[in-house]
Amino acid sequence: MTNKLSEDKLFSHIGANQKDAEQIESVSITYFQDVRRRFLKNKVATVSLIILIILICLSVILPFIIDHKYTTTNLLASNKSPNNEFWFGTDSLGRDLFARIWQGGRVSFAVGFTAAFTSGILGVLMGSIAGFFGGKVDMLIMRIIDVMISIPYLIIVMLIMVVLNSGLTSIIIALTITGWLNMARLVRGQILTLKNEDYVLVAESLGVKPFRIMLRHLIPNTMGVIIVTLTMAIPRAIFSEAFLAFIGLGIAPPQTSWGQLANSGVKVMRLFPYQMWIPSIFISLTMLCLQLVGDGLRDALDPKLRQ
Amino acid sequence: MSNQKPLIEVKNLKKHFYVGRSLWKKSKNVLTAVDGLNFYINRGETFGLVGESGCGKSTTGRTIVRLYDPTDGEIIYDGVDIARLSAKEMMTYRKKIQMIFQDPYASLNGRMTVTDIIGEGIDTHKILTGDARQKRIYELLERVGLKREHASRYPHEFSGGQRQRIGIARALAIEPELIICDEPISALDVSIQAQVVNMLEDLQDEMGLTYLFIAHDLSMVKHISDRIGVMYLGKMMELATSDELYNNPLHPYTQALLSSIPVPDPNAAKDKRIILEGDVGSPINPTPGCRFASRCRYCQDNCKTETPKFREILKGHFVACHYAEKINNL
Repeated sequence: MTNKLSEDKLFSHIGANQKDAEQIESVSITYFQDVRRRFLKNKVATVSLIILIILICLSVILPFIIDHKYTTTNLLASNKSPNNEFWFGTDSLGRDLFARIWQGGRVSFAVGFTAAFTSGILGVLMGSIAGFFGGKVDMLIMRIIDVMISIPYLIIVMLIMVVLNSGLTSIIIALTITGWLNMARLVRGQILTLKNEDYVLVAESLGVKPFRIMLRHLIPNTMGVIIVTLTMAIPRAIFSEAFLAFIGLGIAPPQTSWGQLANSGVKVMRLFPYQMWIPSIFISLTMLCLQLVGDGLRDALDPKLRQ
Repeated sequence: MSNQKPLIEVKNLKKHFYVGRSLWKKSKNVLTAVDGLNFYINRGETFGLVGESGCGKSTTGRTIVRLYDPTDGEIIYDGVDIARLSAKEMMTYRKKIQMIFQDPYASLNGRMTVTDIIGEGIDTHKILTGDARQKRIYELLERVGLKREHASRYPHEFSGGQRQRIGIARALAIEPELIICDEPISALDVSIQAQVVNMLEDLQDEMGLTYLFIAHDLSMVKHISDRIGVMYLGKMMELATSDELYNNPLHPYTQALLSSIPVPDPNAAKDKRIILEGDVGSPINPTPGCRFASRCRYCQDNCKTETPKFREILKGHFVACHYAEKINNL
C-alpha cells in the first residue's frame, strides 16, 4: 500500500508544448569531435600516439641540446659500450650513438612524413580526378597506375636515385613517385560511389563548379579513408627509407638515419650488438606505434559506427 | 488555363543510356529510360508524374534540370530551349529550376552545417553575402518550421522529416520558379508525409511555385496535382487533369493502376481489382509496338508491331492506345 502511494508521487504531468516539438536537446558535435572521442577511448592507440609524439619531440629538440655533436669523431673512444658519458655507446669512429639516433630520427621522420604527404596529395588529386571525371581521363590514369604497380618499386626507386644522386630530396621524390598509386586507387573508388549521392546531384543542379564539388563534397567525405591510408603510408615510407639506407642507397654520410645506423651496426653485430639493436628498436617502436595509431584511426573514422 | 503560355514544355524528350561498356566503340545495347515524352506545365500548377519503379520518372526529372544531357527532344522553359544549352548558359536556368530528392538521408552532405547546406545555392549564384546571407538562411529555416538554433547543427542530428524540410529550404534558397519533387515523401512516415505535402502546398500559394511532382503513391499525387501523367517504360501512357484521370481512366494500364489503390470498404474492393499478368518488359533495345502490350488484357496483334500515337481523345485528355475508344465505349 505504502509502495503504491509513493509511486503516485513519483510521476506528475508536465503537459506538452507544441512549440518544443522541433527542439533538439543533444549537444551539437562535429564529425571530428566524435572521431577524437572514439579514438581516445582506444587505449592502445592513444598510448601509441603519445609515444610517437614523444619520439618526434625528442628528435626535434635533443640534437640542439646534447653536448656531443653527431658528427664529432673521437677515435680514442671508439666502440664504447653504453655508459654514463655515452648513453647508447659510440660507433667505430667514436661518434656518440645517442646523438646520432636522434639526428637519424629527424631524417627518418622528415622523410616519412614528407614522402607520405606528398604522395598522399598526389594520390588524392589523381584519384579524385579519375573518379570524378571518369571516361577517358579515368582510363588513362588507371592504366598508368596499373603499369607502375606492375614494375617492382625498388627498380623505380634505384633508377631515380641513380639519376638524381643520393640525398634527402631524391629519396622523397622516389618514394612519392612510387607511393601515390595505392592512395589514388582508394580515393577513386570512394569518389565513384560518392559522386552519385543525392547531395552531389543537388550541387550539380545548383550549378556548383566541378572542382568546388570535389573540394566541398567529395574529398571531405573521403577524409576517413585518406587519413587512414596516410597514417599507414608514413611507416611504409620510414621503412622504405631505412631499407634503402640499409642496402646503401640512402642519404650520404655524415648525415645519418635509423636505417643507416642499423646498417653500420650489422657489420659489427658479433662484437658490439648494441650498435645494431638500438637503432633497430627505434625503427620497430616507431613502426609499431604508427601502425597502431592507424588502426585506431580506422576504427574511429569508420562511418558504420556512426549514426 | 489552356490559352496561357506554359512555363515549361517538354517535346519528344528522349534519354537513352548505353549499357555494357566497350573500350573503343559505343555499346550497341541501348536502355531507353525516357522515350519520347510530351507534356507541359503551366505556371503555378502542380504536374504529377506517376508510374512504377524503373519507368523513367526520376530520369525525366533529372533530365529537365540537365543533370543528364537529353538524347533527343526539346525542353522549352519560358520560350527558351534549354536542352542544348552549354553549362555556362545553363547557369541562369539553374537558378530557376530546383530539385527536392527522395532520400532525406542521402541528399544532405553530412560534413556540412545546415547553414552551409542551405547557403550553397546562395553562394554559387552570389545572391547574398555576410549577414544578409545568414539572415536569409534563418528566414528559410523558420519558413519550413525549423528553428534558428538549428543553423549550426549537422544533418545527422535531425529526424527524417526535419531533414526533408532542410532539403526544401535549400531548394527555396535561390527563389526558383519550378521545383522538381522527386518522390519527396516516399521515404517518410505517413504522418510526416502529410506535414511535408501541406507545407509544399502552402509554399506554392505563397510564392507562386510550379511543381513537377514525381511519385508512385497515387492517392497522394491525386491530392496535390492539378494534372497527372502516367508513365510506363519510358513512355507517357495517359495524361489528364487529376479528377478526369481518376474518374475516367481510358488507358488499360491506368485502369489497372487505379484499381490497386486500397479502398476502405471490404465489399467494394474485391471485384474491381485488375491484376496485371506477366512482368514489366525490358527497356533495353525495345521493339516497336505498345510497351504495355505484353501485359495488356485487351492486346491485339497490331499492338505488338505498331507504336500507338499519343493522341487527345477528350479535351485535355491524352492517351497512347490504339483501342482507347473501343475499350471505353466512346
